[in-house]
Amino acid sequence: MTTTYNVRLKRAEGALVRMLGLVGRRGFEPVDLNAAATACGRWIDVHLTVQGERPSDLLARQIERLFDVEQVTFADAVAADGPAAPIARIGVSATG
Amino acid sequence: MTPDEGREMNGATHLVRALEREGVDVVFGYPGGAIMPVYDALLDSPIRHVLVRHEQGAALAAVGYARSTGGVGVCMATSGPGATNLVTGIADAFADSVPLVAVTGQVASGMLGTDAFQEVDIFGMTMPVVKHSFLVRRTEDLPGVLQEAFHIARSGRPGPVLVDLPKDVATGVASEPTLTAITSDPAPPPPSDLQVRQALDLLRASEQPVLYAGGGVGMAGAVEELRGFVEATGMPTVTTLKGLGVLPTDHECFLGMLGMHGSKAANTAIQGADLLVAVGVRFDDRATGKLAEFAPGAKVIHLDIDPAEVGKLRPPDAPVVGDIRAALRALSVPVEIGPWRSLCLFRKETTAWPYDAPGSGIYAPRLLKALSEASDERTIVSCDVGQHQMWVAQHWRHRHPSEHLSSGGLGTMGFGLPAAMGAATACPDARVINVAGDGSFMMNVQELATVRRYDIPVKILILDNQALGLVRQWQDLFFDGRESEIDLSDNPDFVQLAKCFGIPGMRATRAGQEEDVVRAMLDTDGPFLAHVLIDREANVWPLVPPGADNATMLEGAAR
Repeated sequence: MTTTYNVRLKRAEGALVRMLGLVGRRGFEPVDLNAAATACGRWIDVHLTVQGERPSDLLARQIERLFDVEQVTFADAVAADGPAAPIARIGVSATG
Repeated sequence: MTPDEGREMNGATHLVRALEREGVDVVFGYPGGAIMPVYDALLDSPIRHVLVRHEQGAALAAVGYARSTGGVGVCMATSGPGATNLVTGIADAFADSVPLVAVTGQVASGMLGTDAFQEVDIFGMTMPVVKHSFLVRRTEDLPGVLQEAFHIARSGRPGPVLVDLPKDVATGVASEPTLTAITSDPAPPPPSDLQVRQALDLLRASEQPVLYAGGGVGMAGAVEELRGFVEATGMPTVTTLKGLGVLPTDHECFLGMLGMHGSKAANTAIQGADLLVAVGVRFDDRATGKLAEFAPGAKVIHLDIDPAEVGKLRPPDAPVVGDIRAALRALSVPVEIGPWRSLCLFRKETTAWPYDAPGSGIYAPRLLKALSEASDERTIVSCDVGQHQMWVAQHWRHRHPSEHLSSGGLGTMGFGLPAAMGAATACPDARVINVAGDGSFMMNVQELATVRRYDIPVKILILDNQALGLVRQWQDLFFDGRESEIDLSDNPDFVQLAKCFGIPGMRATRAGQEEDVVRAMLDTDGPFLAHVLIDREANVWPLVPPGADNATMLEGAAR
C-alpha cells in the first residue's frame, strides 16, 4: 500500500534523518520525498510517500511523537485505514 | 532569576550548573579527552560523581538509579569509544522507557567529519535508541538544551536523551541566559468520555475478563489506581515481566506473569478470556507468544499514555488513550464474574509452583523464594538476563514495580550489577540484591571495583550452572541437544575473585545450605557475594516454544 504524508518538522539538527530512519525501521519504504525549508526558516515541510503493509495511521502516530515533528497529515485519503474506533487526540487527520 | 544569571562561564560550567538546577545529585561516568572540561567543572560542584570502570556500567547504573527512584538518571563519557560504550545502556533505557540523560564529549566542532581521533557520530548512531538527542553547536545554547533534555526524558512516556558536546562548545564562554522554566507537562489528559463509555460497556458485558498489566502502570504512577481497580472488580490479573509488583505477588487475584515463562494459571486465563483489560502494555512477543493466537476469544480494552502504542500489534476494541490513573478510576466498577474468577483461582491453586525438587543440589527457585520471603519491604532486586532472571520473576515476592529491576525489552546481560549499584546509590536505606547468572555476571564484573571503592552495599547472588543456561535449554529443546558454545565450566572462583576486589563472599554447593546463604546475604554489612552452584541441567518451566501460542506450555521436572 502506498501512503503519502505531509510532515512539518522543526528545522533542527538531524530532524529529517531521524524521521526517515524511523520510517524505515517501522517497516515502510520511502519511495518519494520532497523537503523544503519554509520561508521563515523555522520549519521544513516534507511531502513523503511510503510503501508498506503495516497500518498507515500507526506510522503517522509514530512519526508524530518524534520531538521535532510539529504536524503530520495524510496527503491522500487512501491512507485512512486505521482501527475502526477513533483514537482521540492523536493529532493526525485525514485531509483527503 | 538564577544566581548565575548574566555571569560568564564556559560551556562545561554551564552544563554542570544546569545539572544542578535539575536536581541531579549523582552522575555515573568515566572521563576522557573530549569531556575533560566537564570533569574540571565537576570539581567545583556538589554533584557526586561515581567513577565506574566501563562506560556501559555508567549507563546501566544510571538506569538502575532512574528505575528505583522514578527520577532521571545521568551518565557521561568521552567521545569515540567512551560514547559507543554507553550505547547498550541507552538502548536498554529506550526499550524499557527509562528517563535517562547521557552526556558525551565530542571532538571540537571544526574537527567534526574529519575522522579525528576518538570521533564517532554518536548523535547519528543513537538515533534509533533515543527519545531525542542534541548535538550542541553553541555554548550559549547549553543551558536551554539541558533543560529541554531533562524535560523530554521525564515527560510523557519517559526515555533516554543524548546530549553530545563538542569540546570547543565546552570550553567556549557565554553568559548565563535567562531561562524560562519549562512547566512540567500537565498531567496527561484524561481519556474521552466516549472512550470510557465504550470500555465500560465491554467491561459490563464481559463474563471472563483478565487484567493484563505492564510496566506502563508503574511509570504512570498508577499502581494505587490499578490496585483500586482490582479491588473494585475482583478481576483475575496477570502481568508482564516489567509489570511485576503492580499487584503484590501474594494478592489473591494475581495469577502470575504471562508469556514464554509465565505461570500456567496466567497463560490459561489469558487464552480463555473474553476480555483483556490491557494497561500499560505493548503486546510484546515474549508476553503474547504467537500474536495471532493470543487471547483468541477476547475483546481488548487498551489503556496507554502513548497513542502510538495502541493498536501497534493488536487492534483494540476500546482504545483508552491518556492518563491511565484517571482511566482506571473511571473503570473501577463491580462486575459479575464470580464463576470465572473462581475457576481462575482454582487453577492458580492447583498449578502452584513446586519447590520440592529432588537431589542433593541447591534448587534455585527454592533459594530465591526463601531469600525473598526473608527480605523486608525496602528490598530491591536487580537481575541479569537468563534463567535466573525468569526464576526471580516467577519466585520472588514482588511488592512494587520499582523494587524489581530487570532488563525487559533489550534483555541486557550484565545489567544486574551496575543497575544494583545505581539503585543502592539512589536509595541508601534500601537493601539491594543482585541476582546474577555466571554468564551475565562476567559481562560487567569490573564494576566490583566500583562497588568496593564506594563501599556500595550490594549483595550479589550468583547462580552458577557453569553454562549459558537458557541458551543451553533452548539448544536441548529446539536444536536436537546440539550444545554450541554454552560451556562456562572454566569460570573463575567467584569468591576468590570478589576477595581480590576486597569484597567478602561465601560458596554454597549443596541442599541444606540455603539458610546460610540467606542469612549471609541479609546480615552482612557492606557488599557481599554468594556463589551458589546449581545443577547445570536445571531448566526454567513452563516454556512456551518460540512461535507457539501461550496455550502450548512445555513442562519438565524440577531438578
